[in-house]
Amino acid sequence: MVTFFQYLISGLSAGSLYALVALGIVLIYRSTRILNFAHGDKATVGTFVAFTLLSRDLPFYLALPISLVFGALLAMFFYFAIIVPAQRRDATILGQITITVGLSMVLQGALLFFWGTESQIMPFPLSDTRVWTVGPFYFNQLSIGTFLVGITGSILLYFLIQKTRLGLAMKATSENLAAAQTLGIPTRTVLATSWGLAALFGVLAGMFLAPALILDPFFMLEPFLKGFSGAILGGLNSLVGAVVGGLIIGIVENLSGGYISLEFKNTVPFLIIILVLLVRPEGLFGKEFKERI
Amino acid sequence: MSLLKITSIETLYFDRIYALQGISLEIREHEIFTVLGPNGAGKTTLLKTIAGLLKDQPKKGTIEFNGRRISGMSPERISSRGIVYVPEDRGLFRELSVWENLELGCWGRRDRELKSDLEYVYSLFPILAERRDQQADKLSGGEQQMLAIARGILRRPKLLMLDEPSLGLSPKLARSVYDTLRAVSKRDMTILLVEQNAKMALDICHYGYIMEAGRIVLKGTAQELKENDDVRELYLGVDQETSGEKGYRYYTKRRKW
Repeated sequence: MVTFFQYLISGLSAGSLYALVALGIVLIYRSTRILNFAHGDKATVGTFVAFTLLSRDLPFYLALPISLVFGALLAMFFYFAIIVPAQRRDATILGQITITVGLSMVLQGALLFFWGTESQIMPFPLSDTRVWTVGPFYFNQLSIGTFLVGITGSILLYFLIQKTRLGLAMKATSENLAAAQTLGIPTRTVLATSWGLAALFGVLAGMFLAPALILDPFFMLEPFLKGFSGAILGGLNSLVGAVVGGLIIGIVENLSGGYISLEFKNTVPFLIIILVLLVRPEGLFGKEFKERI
Repeated sequence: MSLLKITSIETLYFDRIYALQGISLEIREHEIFTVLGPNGAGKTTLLKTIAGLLKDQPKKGTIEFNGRRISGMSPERISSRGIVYVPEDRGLFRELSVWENLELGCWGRRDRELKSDLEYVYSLFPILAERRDQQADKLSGGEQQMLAIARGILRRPKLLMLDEPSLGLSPKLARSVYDTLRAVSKRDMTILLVEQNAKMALDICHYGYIMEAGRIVLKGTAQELKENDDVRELYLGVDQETSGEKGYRYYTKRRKW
């Protein structure tokens, strides 16, 4: 029982980061129908910026916001420089998705060029060797911090979207672009903000994943895939679904890694996704597309 | 002074299908204008072209609003100049509540009259106040139309363009929507209507245009149009063509346009 809860705790901690990644993917998908395959690589770039800043002895509380903003600006630049011109030339959704795959390659190349292939160790204020014991349970500092950041981030995003005018404009733009335009809502700016926010959450996830994993130019690939499957599991349209999906992936991954075999750690979550999608193709929280005729 | 001046615009779909073939029209302030025409005449295309929703259109010609050229601008900028377009499908945000839809209509407004405008809108359509928190998708067709018009009014447009506001409404409801439009037009607002329901539109408008196959074939004041023989026959359904003395006729009557 104790080991079960121990797996659960580390699952929640990993899952909250997958939730952040999934939120970024869902945010973009909801407003533009684009599956952003460059999401993980933007996060990697932001994390490497943080790595560089931290290894130059910049304090963490400065390095964190700088790299978050850097990631957000990178994504907004990408939106204005590539996606908008593509849309102006009537690129299909599939074409735009392919563009993000291409950008992912470009970013990987840039990462290899600037930071090399060597694995790095991220200097980080939280450590997973500092452990607290509460009764029979162990909590390490890093996973507690990770969990708190993941949950706080998700809640903040929720409030941003549900309670602010910007969030309202985001919902309006994603639901009916033409109507939003005729109401004078600056849809380009709103969409750019979505891209920026998504990348910001990606970098946040990347920064907290880096100390647990080894930092190399491809370290986000696996978390990206997990976040992606979390998003699909929860229903690509639903922000709540993204969080729940991410958490489920994290928990299942740790339980199967613990009880079945470590080799299964990456496989079982995907098997579960296949099963869930067979029963509910729209995902756990996704709404089936219905239209009144 | 003319508020909107359109000079021989041409709009094409897919670069080769002509939807508007050199249309010119002029709209004066504080009046209600209507554009009538059969299906496929290009009425909706005309409104969409004005609103800037068709990319790279109009291909030729210019649209001037308040003396400044707006053709080729993005729909957001055209809208911020004071043109609101209520499309045929009403363009509501269906997943959002009535209140959220109205709030989005106030986008960019920070003036003090916002509150009185809201009250005004609620007084026009009391049902919207009742349904405040209901999802827009769950409203009836008439209520959706009211919401769309209310949202348009909240933007305080100089020109309100409506695409078939009577579509799908019962005659009684359509009548009440039209009465509201008449009341609204007294509040410093010009209205451009596109309609199939010619009788109702001609009853409230001051001036009308008749479109066919992408061209304007007739224009005149509401009274002139109502008295025009062809309009009476084709749009108002009165004065049925009488057959000749022998009880049959030899040719289909030619329209004068």
